[in-house]
This record gives sequence, C-alpha cells and structure tokens, in this order.
Amino acid sequence: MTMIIVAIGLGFVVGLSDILGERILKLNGKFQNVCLMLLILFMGIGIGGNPEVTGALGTLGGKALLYAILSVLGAVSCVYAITKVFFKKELSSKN
Amino acid sequence: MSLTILGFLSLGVVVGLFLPSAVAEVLSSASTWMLLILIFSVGIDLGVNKEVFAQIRRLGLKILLVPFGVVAGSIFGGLVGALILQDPILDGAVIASGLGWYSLPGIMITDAGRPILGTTTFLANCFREVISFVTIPLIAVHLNHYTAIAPPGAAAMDTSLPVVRANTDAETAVVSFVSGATCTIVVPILIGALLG
Repeated sequence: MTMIIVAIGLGFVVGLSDILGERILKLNGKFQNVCLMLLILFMGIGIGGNPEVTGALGTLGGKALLYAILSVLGAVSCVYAITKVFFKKELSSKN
Repeated sequence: MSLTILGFLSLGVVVGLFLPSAVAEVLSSASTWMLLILIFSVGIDLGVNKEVFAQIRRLGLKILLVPFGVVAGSIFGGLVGALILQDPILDGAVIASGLGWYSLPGIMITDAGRPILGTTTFLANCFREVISFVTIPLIAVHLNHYTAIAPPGAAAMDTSLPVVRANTDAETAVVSFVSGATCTIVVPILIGALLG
C-alpha cells in the first residue's frame, strides 16, 4: 500500500508541476492503455501459473465463483442505489 | 474494452498454465513493477486535471458513502451465498469481507486454522478481481461512473484503478482510490472481527 501511495503521489506532483508538455501528456494516455493490457496479461499468467489456484479450482472453484459473483452483485446494487440517492447532482454531468 | 481485457486475461491464464512455474513467477513479480509505473502515470493524469480536487473537496465526507456501499453490499452478497450453499452464515460474510483482496485475507483465515475457508476466500477474491476487470467498462457505460468502482472493492486503489481511469474520468479515479484505500483498511479489521 505504501508503494502505491508513493507512486501515485509522485505522479501527481509531476502532473501538478506542469513540467510535461502537451505531447508527452498525450503519450502518457497511450502508454497507460498499452501498459494496462500488458499488466492484465501478466496477471493472467500469474493466475494460470499459480498451482494454489489451479489445484483448488476443481474442488472449491464453483463455490468461490458463486461467492465472487454475489459479492460483486451486492456491491454494485448497493453503490448504485447510493449514487441514485446521494450523488444525483454529481453524476448528472457525466453519463 | 471489456472484450479486449477478457481476451488478454484469458490468454495470460492459458500461457500461465503451460509456462514453467519459475517463469510465471518472474512475470508475476514484473507485473508488480508495471503496476507501480502505471499508477505513477495515473497520478500524472490526476495532477494535470487541477479542477478535480476542487470537485473532491466539494464532495467532502460524502465520498465515504461509496466504500460504505461496497462493504455493505459485498457482505450482503456473501450472506446470500451462504444461504444458497447452506454454509455457516458467518463463513459467507468472511469470504465476502475479502473485498477483492485475495492475498492477505486468505493467509489470515488459513492462519486462524481454517485452511479450506482460507482457500475459498482466496479463490473467490481472485475471481472477483477478474470479474471486475471485465465488468467495470460495462458498468461505467450502462449504470454510472461511481458504480464502476464497486466491483473491485479494495483493488479500486491499485490493480483496477487504471481500468477505472480508462473507462471513466479523473474525478472518478480519485473517488476510486479513496474507496479502495478505505476498503483496504477495513478488510483486516472485518476478517479479524468475524473470525473472533
């Protein structure tokens, strides 16, 4: 968690200081997209290559998947309801 | 974007299955560094958008309603899961309290003498991360930006933050970071309390 906070903080200071030109900022956006896909590929490799995951998939996989789906559904419904009540104004300008 | 993400992720899983585990481990630790670089780059993005922090300041403590919804909704989902599977009701709450963070909760629960529950929690939260990658882009379009922060739970501050940023806007990325950080603090407390 510390490393993540340091990384985002450093980036934030660099962004705030306006030392980067328009062109570099555009490149930064493209870089994020490429990096994101690579990261997701590597994370997939981490999951597929982890014997702890693949070994337990057969016995506990179905159960774990159901819990994952239900907790995502619960979180999404709850946050959606909260945004409809408390964040109407903020979100009206978005989508 | 969901399909591209799903494609890269599945490709990775298949490659991972066939790679020698030592190589997979190296690539997996390379992803930690890549994540830090990516988060740095998202930080630049946030720093450049100077109006974002004025908007966040206007939101004030209301911002915490988002992680509150994530925690309450996730645990509710876990309880429903326990009812369906006829597991002890608290076990469902424990699994869901991982909030998408798979490493620490799995270890905490296994260390507490519940290895099967620990492994289930580990797997469920692994799946949650995968589901998040694929659903964030869809939720951002069909529901709203803040709701796209809900699926990843604790990972909204790190691995899923770039996905949120790519599919929403700078302000939502900050809310995502705050929500993920709050969840990250809450997870060990919740699991500790539930395990008694």
